[in-house]
Amino acid sequence: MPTLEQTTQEVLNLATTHFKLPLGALSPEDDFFKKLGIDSLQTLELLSRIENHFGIELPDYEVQGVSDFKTLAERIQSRL
Amino acid sequence: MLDLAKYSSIGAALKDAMSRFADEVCLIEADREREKERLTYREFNSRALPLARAMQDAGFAGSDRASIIMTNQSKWLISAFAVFYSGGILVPLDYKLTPVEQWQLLQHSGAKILVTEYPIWRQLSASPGRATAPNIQAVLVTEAPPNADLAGAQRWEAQLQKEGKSNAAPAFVPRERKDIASIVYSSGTGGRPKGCTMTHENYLEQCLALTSLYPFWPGVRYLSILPTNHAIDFMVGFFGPFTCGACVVHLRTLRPEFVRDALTRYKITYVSLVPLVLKNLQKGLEARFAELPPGKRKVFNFLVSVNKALTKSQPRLWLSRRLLKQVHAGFGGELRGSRHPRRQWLRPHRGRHGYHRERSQAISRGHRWQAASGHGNQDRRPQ
Repeated sequence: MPTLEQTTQEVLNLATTHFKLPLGALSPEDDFFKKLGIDSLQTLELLSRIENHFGIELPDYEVQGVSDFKTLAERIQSRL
Repeated sequence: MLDLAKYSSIGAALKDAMSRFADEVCLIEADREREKERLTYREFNSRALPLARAMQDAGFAGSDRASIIMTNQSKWLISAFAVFYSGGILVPLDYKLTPVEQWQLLQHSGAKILVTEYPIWRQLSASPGRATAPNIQAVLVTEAPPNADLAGAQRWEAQLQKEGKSNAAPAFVPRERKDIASIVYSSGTGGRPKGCTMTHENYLEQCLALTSLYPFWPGVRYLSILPTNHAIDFMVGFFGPFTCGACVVHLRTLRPEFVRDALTRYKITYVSLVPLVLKNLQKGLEARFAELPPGKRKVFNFLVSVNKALTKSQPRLWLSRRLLKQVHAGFGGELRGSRHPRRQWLRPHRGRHGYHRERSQAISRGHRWQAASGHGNQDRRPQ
């Protein structure tokens, strides 16, 4: 099983690719709404991509209120 | 539909709907591609009544207040009916608020019972705000894992199995039209959230207005996406369809792909959407249009123009469905109308009781189904 750091890095890579950003543009503590300027629907699209990548299901209640990559990675890690 | 003019309360109307439409499907609950629940009005009633009896046995009496903090799902509506059946006042709260905000509103509302979901209760019970609402005497939690620490709450599901003080059905507590049915908290834009009291008459009249413009009947399916604590979904995703024998579809995971899938899988008739979701659906369609070969694209654009011209003065759904068959099929093929929360809700010259019709401009390709727009919470008597 990957470590939390590895999961976090994978999430950052996925977001970087999904939103076509330069490598290293995102950090774990970033608020993805503010940093990426995305709306809730775009966030849901990213979530679907993350679910497919990790082969997990993240229920809505698990991601309710989550706004930074680190916390998101923790929620993913708990389901791996 | 029921003749709502004859009823004095939400509870009385829903009670009659349960027997009138007993064998019709009233609720479908899906999570992603899995259907979790499908209930007839009879089955819905058989869950709500034991809950009402358990609440009454626990001391919940007419005019007591019960709050619901849940995502859209079957137990939301079952719990609400149990509250109205018992003559109670419903306090629907937004599950997206922070725990501290939720406790503040629970305290302010004077609610005696809280019905919530386990993931929400996990956060609520750990919040320091809990001490601020000693008025909450009982908490019913749905879908808690078997060994979960309920922090003083009781399992919602266990209430349905409880032996009552007697084997009799719970008492139906009648209410008058002028009695308060619910306390709805506004978002508090520009200030602190305020509780607005809504009478049974408000809901009964609003439902009459709604169904005169957008009729429901058995077989009609409404896709419930907006939170049910919101005034719009409470009416069009619960009370309206239930008084007409229609069916409400809930999705436990709200992602664009599952919304799109639900529209076609369940042949949705009506849906309420925020513009953002509508835009996303449009984006999906546009992508499909872009893939059309040039010849087909030309024909398609021609049909869109014809449709626009022929439906300029008024929507002609049957015509639009013929001209743009595949577009409508992309929305399930049965969609008749959509509702959008907007600020034009109360424009008296455009309709009665806050509802008005307008042609949908939201999908620029011009499907021409009916769209109502509205602000949702008709603030009355702020407290």
